Amino acid sequence: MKRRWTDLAWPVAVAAILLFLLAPILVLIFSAFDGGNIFRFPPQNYSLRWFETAFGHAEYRKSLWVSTLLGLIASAIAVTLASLAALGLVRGRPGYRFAVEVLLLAPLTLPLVVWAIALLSIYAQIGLNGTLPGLLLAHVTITLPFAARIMIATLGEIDPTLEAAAKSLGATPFRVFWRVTLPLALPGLLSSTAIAFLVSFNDVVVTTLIAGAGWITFPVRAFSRLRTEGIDPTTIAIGAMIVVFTMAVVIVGQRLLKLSR
Amino acid sequence: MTGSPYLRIRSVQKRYGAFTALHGFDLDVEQGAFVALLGPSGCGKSTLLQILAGLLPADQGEIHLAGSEITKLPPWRRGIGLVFQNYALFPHLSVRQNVRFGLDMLNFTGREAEARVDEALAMVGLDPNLTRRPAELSGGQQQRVAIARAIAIRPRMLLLDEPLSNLDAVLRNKVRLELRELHNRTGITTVMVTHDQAEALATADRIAVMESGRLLQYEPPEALYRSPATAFVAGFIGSPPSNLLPLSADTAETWKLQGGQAWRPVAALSPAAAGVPNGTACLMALRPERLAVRGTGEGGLPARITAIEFVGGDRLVHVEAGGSRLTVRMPAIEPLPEGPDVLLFPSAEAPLLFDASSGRRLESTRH
Repeated sequence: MKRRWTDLAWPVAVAAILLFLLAPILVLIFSAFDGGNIFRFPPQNYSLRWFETAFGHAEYRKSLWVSTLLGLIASAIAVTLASLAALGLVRGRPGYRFAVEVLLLAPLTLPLVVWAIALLSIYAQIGLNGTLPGLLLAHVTITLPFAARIMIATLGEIDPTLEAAAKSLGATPFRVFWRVTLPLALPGLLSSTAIAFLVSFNDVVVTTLIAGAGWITFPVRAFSRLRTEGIDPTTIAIGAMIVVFTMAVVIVGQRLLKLSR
Repeated sequence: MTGSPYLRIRSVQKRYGAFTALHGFDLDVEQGAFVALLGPSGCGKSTLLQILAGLLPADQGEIHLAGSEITKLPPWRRGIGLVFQNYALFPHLSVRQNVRFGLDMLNFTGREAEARVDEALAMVGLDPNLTRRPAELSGGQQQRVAIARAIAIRPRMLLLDEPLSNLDAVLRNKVRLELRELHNRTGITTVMVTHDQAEALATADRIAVMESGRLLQYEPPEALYRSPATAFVAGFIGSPPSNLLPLSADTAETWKLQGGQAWRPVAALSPAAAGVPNGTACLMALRPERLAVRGTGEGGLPARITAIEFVGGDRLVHVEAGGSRLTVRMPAIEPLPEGPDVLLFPSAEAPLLFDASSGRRLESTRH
């Protein structure tokens, strides 16, 4: 009798944790299909009307577009910078490596609100507030630590003798990069791009403070709507689409990586 | 010898701050020879190999290969095959793609490239249809792939960095022989770095014994064994290496062991003893296989047995004698006298004498 009880305890605990983690997402997806005028769970009548509204809503469309564009550009820049930094730190092994790694992590050490306020006052001095370059720069800065951590770990794992072997077989530095270093760094590049994109896309605090009226991102729009009008089912519908899209990307990415192994 | 040597290393020096890894190193290697760079850790052999490959720049000196200078050439233009100690196989490529890599760099295509890959894999005894990833292979197979990859490009010279050190004992002997056979078949000039003297003695045509960045002796294995130039070489070569018994020169009749004891007329044993000034500290090289252990006899070196190791056909008898620890190698079939106190007798062949401070071999002044 005792054995049976403890056998159940572990799976139950795991199920409870998973439920806790996934419940908000499930609530989100299910209630997006609810036809009512307000957000309610469980959904009572099923309809796609909020998805239709989402596609028709110009404000939301624009904010999604801004978020995506910003995320793509910021992550591209952050990953490039992170890769260059990682190359220098891992291959060069300078004495100041530890100091630089700490510096790269610096933006994460402050509460983002505090950091954003300080940034805002700097921007006001140099006239960058409310501009796209200013917003982009801020996004690159908050995503860089994540990208850097991943790229340092990724490049650190690549055996340097592989590059020496490639050279001895006749590969010029470019060919070494193209045929050895890049393919081996690819998983790291993809995951750091994905994380940088997500961090940028999901950011509310920094963007709220830094972006002017012209560059409202989706989370900022949703959040401001929330405070003035309550939970707008359109937001729920968009949120559900984003979740499904992200999951699809992750699943496809996993399969591709598995195939290439 | 007509013409200049195939590989010529002249005055190569490499320093790291205050530490000199290589002091003005000179070496000549003939075409098609199999040369071993032998020495303990830190002697500079791996540094020299890296410099030969072009992966490390020399501070000074020149290197010539097949008549042209390669000192300043980058590694991808030297046409030298390199086999790394950890194999360095590309994990994201299959076995065949690994072996094909050098051929891709040389712009070989299609059928010709594949034929060369087949040839290289066959030469190292691997199935040409091996399509697995390197991570799925055993250590021995990975090493063969690494060798195949290096020889597929038909390099002008092959460099091996401690090829056997990551293999288990059984595999080591097998691969040792295969390396030699491979060399005989391909005729590629080969330079192998190793710290294992048995490996070097068994496979190389000539061995360059190195210590602290310097070349001590560069001769065929048997010459190194019979006539080591320094005490270090004597004490390094051999399985087990030669015993080095400290002696100090005294009268012509008797020399003193450590601790003041006198021993039999060393002059009779070793002609080189004659010209040595009194009081000189020397080392006498007594090869373990050239010593006999007996219970009684005239003029033997008194010794006390501390341990006996059985090594298959032979026995290694460890003794304390003359204030030092010595080892005797004798056939297991020979009876051992009742220990622990015995007498050691060097065989008829004159043991070599070395100066204890400089390490140089003392030559006979009588002719």
